[in-house]
Amino acid sequence: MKIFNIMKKNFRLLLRSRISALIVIFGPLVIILIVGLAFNSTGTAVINLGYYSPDMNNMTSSFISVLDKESYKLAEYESVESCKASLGSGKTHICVVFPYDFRIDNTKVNEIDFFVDNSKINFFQSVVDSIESDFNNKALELTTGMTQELLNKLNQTTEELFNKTSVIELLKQENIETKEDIDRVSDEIRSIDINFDYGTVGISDVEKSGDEASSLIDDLKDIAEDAIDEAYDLIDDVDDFAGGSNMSSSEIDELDDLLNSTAESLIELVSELNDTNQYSNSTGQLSSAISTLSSNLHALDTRLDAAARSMDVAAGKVLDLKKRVNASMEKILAVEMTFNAITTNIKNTQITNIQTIVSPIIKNVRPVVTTDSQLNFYFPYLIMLIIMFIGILLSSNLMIMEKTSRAYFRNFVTPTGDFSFILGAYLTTMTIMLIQLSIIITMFILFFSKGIVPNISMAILILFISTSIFTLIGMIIGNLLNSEETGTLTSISVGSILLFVSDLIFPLEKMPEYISYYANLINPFVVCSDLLRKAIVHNVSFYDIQQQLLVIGGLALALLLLVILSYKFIKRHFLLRYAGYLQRRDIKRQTRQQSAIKLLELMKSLPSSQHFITKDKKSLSNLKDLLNYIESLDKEDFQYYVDKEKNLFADWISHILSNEVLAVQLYKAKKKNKITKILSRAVKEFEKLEKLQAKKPTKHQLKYKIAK
Amino acid sequence: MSNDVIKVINVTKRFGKKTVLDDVNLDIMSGEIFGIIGMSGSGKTTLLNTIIGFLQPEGGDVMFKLEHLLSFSNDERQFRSVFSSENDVKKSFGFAAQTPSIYAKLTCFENMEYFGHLYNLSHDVRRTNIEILLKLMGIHDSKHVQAINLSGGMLKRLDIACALIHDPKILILDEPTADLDPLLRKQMWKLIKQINEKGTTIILSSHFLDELELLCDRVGILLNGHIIMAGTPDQIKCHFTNDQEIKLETTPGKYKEIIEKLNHTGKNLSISSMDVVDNKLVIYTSAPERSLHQVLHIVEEMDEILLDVTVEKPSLQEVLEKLKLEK
Repeated sequence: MKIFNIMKKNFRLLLRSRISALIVIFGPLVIILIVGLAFNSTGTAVINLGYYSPDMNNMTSSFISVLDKESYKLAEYESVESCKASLGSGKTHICVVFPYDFRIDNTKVNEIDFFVDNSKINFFQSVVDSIESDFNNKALELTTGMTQELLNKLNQTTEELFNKTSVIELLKQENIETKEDIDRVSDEIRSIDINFDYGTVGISDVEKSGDEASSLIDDLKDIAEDAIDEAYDLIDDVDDFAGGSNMSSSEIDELDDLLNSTAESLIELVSELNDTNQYSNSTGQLSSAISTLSSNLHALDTRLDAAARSMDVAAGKVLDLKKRVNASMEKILAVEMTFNAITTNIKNTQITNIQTIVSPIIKNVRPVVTTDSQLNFYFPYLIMLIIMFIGILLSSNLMIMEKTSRAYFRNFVTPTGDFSFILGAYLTTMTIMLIQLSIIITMFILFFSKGIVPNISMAILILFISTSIFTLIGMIIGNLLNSEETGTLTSISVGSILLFVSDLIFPLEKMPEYISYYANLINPFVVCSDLLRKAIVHNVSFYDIQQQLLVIGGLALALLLLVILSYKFIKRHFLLRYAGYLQRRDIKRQTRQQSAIKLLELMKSLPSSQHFITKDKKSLSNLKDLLNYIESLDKEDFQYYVDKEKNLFADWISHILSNEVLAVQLYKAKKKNKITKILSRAVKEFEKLEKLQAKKPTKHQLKYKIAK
Repeated sequence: MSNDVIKVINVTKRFGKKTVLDDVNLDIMSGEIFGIIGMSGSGKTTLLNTIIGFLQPEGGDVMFKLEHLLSFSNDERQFRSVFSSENDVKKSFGFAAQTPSIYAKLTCFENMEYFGHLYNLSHDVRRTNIEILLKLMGIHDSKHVQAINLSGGMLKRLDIACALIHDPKILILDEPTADLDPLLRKQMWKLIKQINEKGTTIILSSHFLDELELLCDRVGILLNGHIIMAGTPDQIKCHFTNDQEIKLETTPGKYKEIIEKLNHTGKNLSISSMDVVDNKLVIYTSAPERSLHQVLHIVEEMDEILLDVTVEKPSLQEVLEKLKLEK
């Protein structure tokens, strides 16, 4: 097949051009090996740290001890200036200046200064990050201690508050009891009825009652005596009955006992009745007692009145006391509430864990990809870098090699379509890239990573499209340029531009928005490396990236179209050149230039008889004078020289200056502004030519230079 | 019945405002060697490029007879325009430019193999043609030598071999002997003749009019964009001049005296011009016998020793120079 034949020819040409073979074929392999070794690291570089402290106290020493580990190489300096100077000389990467009297104190603010050499763009940030991390850890340690102290005091306070709460309860209780007592006393006081009205006491009633009682007693006595007499009669009756009844002796005895006891009782009763006489006597005494009582009651009444008055006073005082007790209670409640609030607040503090207070947010940077080597992360970018530069360089060089080869012409003589040649060049580049990528990926797998590239089908698709894009870009460059040197320079420039407007060197986010936007959208390096990273590192599916794939697919097609168009354009250009057209154009340009030179020389040496004589007898010997004169003319004067039938200016230029080209242009222009425009352009060209002529060395000058 | 294989019909070609070919008409016959002569910038390369279809003329057309119909009669229907039958043209024509058009880093064999592929030749045909052509061109021993290591003549021959790889019926050579020394030029003429003997129609352009005179069956003179005449070299010479050329070489070679004496001879010798060229006295005269007789007489009188004398028609070079002067 023709295309394989073209590819075979291309391979032979590339391999037989030793420099191309070395640079293009082996170059990327060497690069990837070196870069791979460089990036295949799990650790960080040793940082040279210089420090200065005005007074090496304990705090400063504790900080320094944190840094005294493998990743730092420490050096103490005598002064800030010497420490900073060490940065410039490269002895240290970072200079740390501790403050005087470094201690944690309420009245003191401690500032630690870090001096870094930010001219080491890529390194200084990692240095700063590293040291910040270590210092932050130490600061965290201090913060933890202070926070622990605060927490302890808080806990202590909480405990004491809690303890005091029972006292308050006690106070409250006592207060309540006091209040109750007061209420009780108050009630009791109020309940004391010391209202005494002698008239209502009823002494007369008592007297009456006494008298009645006395008479009653007498009546009772009489009744009792009667009753006793009856009882004695009854006993006698019973005794008589018993004697006459058929009762047993025991029963009779029993009955006798009973009758006897009853008789004894009656005897006692009689004796008691006799005592009632005492009672009668007593009633008289009672009346006297009542009288005494009455007088006492009068006295009592008086005293009770006085007591009532005192009671009122006491009631008032009790009320006051109650108020004071209430007030005191309120205060106790208030204190209790405060204590409760404090205790509640303290208890409601949800965060009591010291670690949570000191570091409420713990940043866990969990890599999605669990691997130690940086190479895994840089790999997609490295691959794309290789593809970009080598793809562009190789394809552009291939096209230029073909264009500049003698055989280029013969290809057009053969019945082989343009597309076959384009496809041949494309496939040649793609094949070489495929071989290189296979070697690179194999090396990567064998030497730098044990894992096999996941999502290999997606990765292959992306690599294919990416390689195509950069190959096509290179082919366009190759079509447009004519030498390998300019092709190489242009390829590198294009690659560099695409590289700089990407994330690899500076974050896109730090660039102007429009650059960032378009870079993310259409910079093939950005889009392709992003896709590759997603496929290799994150193992995304096709659907997640289909939009981006469509973009780069569309870009590839657009580039293919451009390649075809540029190829056809260049072919036509080549054939014209081959046919001598372009040489003729160059000759024509040279001829024009030569005639312009002749005109220049002529104008310098024009005899006065051949000058242009104006109607006001001015003599013009060159175009510049002519132009100035025409510009000064008004419409009427201008028409004297130029109208529909004549053009004296053009005549002079044609017949005397013998410049037909300029004359023809002037003949065609009838208006003043057009004529002045044409002459102005001509004058500028002549002035330029004059300057060029002035710069050109003469033969003698050249010889002189060589002799020197 | 003529067996034309190419007809150039009223071809006009302009580059910008300059008309390079102006209403050119030409017929090339099958199996002939046709030479195009003209001064530098006369449009020879343009004409050849137009014939092969590289350049589209502003007016006219170039018709060629399809290969498989060459044996038929000269029927207009057998002709196709080169501009509408690009692939047929490429299959039927072979082209060798002034500068050898080959890959310097490929060997002779690889170059021919590559171009053979591009002509869709089968493997066997390709290999056969390569062997034949390498032998014909006399570069078989350098079969596996890279082109960059070949001499100028060998490069040229390789170039022509590549042009012939597909066995075209028409071969176009643009300045085939440019940059070659006289010996190589002779070898190239011989080669061209050999190719032509195999039936290939050859159209060539050259500055070396003497070689065109020797090689070509017919020549066409291109002047100011016109083919002012096409015919055999003799026809052209006779058309432009009846003079014959007498070349005389003597020693010590007092040619100026001889010329003076001839001018004052008083006889009508019909001499149109006399000049000393390359240490020889060249006399153009329409009466060569009388003039020769008179010259020899003067030579004898002056005791000059005659070294060489030739009488022939003026060369094409001389005709062209004369034309140039007239124009």
